[in-house]
Amino acid sequence: MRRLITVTVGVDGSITAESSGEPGPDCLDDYDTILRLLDGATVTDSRLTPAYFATEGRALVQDTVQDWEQA
Amino acid sequence: MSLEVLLIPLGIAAVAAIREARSTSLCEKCHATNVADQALLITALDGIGATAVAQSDGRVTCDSTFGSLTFQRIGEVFLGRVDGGTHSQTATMISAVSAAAGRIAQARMVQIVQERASDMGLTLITQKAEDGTVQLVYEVNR
Repeated sequence: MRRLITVTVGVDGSITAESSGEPGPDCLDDYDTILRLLDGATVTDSRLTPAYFATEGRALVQDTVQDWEQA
Repeated sequence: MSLEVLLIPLGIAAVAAIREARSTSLCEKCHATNVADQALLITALDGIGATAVAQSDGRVTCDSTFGSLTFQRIGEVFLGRVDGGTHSQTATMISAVSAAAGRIAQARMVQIVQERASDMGLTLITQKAEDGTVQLVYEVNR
């Protein structure tokens, strides 16, 4: 699976790191990658973006339908 | 995007700490910088052409084009003033020092990212600089 890490460093030193690619729970592995990549920096905020929840929601609906069909 | 992380580099103070420093009345004519690390402050002062830099733990003095300057660490942040200067003069000086510190922190962070990415085996896809902002895109090989 192709995953990208985008690091943006502002002229004031502020940093934004984003993971992209196939959205979903696998992106949580990217959090560790980002922390190792930005050695010495301090996390001030982190959030899962709507893309993550979109995939999570689709997976939940699919699982629920499968459970219902099997019942 | 599915995950977004906001960070501050080593040596730069958190926004909350800067706000807290600005809200204190510990020093009547001081203004808060964005600097938390004394070594970064010294480098930033060098960047604005300061001379006769003297330092002890948490305190830095120097001469500059703004006049004689004094910095003192209060909590996590360095506050500074133009000795005998007005609020306006101090504000202008603090802006210059903070901007210099930001540029230095940015350059250091970009260097760290490039070195760490190489060590981690990440592949650089694109690198660009626009309006002073540097953006690096890496592919994670799993």
